[in-house]
Amino acid sequence: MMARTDEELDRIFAAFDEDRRSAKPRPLSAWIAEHPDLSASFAHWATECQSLQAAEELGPTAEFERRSLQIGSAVLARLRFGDGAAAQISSLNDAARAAGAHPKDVARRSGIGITLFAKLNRRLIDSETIPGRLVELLADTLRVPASSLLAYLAQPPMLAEGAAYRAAKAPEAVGGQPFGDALRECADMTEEQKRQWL
Amino acid sequence: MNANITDNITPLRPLTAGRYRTPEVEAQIREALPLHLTQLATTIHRTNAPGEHAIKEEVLVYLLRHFQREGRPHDANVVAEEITARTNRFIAAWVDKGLPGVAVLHRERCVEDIYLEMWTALQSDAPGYEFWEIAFWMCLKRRAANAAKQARRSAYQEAPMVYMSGDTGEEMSLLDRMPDRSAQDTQSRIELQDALNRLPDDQRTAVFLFYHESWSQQQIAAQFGVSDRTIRNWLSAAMHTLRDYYGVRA
Repeated sequence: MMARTDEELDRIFAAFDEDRRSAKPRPLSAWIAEHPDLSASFAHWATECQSLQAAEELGPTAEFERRSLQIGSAVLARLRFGDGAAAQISSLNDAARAAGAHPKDVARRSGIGITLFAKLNRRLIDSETIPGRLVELLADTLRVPASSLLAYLAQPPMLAEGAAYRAAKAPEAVGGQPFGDALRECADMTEEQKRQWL
Repeated sequence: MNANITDNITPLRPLTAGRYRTPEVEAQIREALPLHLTQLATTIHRTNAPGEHAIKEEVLVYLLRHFQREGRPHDANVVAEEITARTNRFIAAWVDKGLPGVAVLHRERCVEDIYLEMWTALQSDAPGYEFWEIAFWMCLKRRAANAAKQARRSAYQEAPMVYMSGDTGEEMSLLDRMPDRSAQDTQSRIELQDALNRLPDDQRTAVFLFYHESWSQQQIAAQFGVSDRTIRNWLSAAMHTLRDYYGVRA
């Protein structure tokens, strides 16, 4: 199946959403025929749009709106948005040690396997596909601002620490693996653990 | 936009080749960039009153990223708080009304997930997140829809629906008795949607495709990769739930 980037999906669904709200929308089946790999998402989105329309008309209860704002503000505070003095991270392993923990403990506390943690450390995973919840959990465990962690994860991939190479040209690490693929390949996580990130 | 600001045009950070912000967004960014903190706070709270235009969310995203890059945390926070205030009602409404019957714990987790996904994207300068400066609400809706799906899945894993078996064609007659959408008033439509939102995702989508999109049961079965009989069971179970909550005339 073709792997789509988040931005591609945003673009396609922006066009889809605009069409659904037009006076004469194309049939759902036409969109599915055009992008068969997104058929489940189109069906889900079309269903969800009905729900959204009703939700917007009705609005939330005052109590839930207040609670939602509390949650949103708490997330904002945790992420330390706009923290210009955010420290740079040299590696996740170093950040773990600086936080007084072994990388294995950080992985366990964050609900991922050490194999996945190692891939994150080497930036082999496409940073745009990493769930925000995991970024926040890791940042919290490593005691670093989420913005610093994101900046680290978005850098180019790096070779394994301590590995020796013998080749005609300089070796290059290959990154950009979607998070979902890396998760599925992770042998040291149970299916239950994996499900919470899918 | 006033003349002295136009004279002092700051080159905007370009998007990746082939992507464009709307001219209105670009003009508003240029208007806001030279402002000091207090002026900025006033400007971003502006409404669509006569003679002024509210600052668009895509502009706020640009400003947020710009202030982050420039190491201006106070300005970034003013913008971030405005984004929270503007998005909260939408997020709260979606989760509150879109996930009826789902435990508070899952609903609050869903709100948190939506905010996390949004801030993760807004904090990044990576090209993959540029679309937030082009179509902010679409990007947010997609994350909200995904988070809602996850919340429903978690909720129904804890309390799975029992799919009622039935080969009686009852679901057809129940669907036939669902209210005519064109004749529905707003309140009835909202009530029906509330009932539909109580269904597990698959059932809800199946009902939507059957009732709203007029797909055949065979088409729906092909869509889900399951048998026609499974779809009949889903529709039947869905109709029972709708009857319980909404009182579809049976």
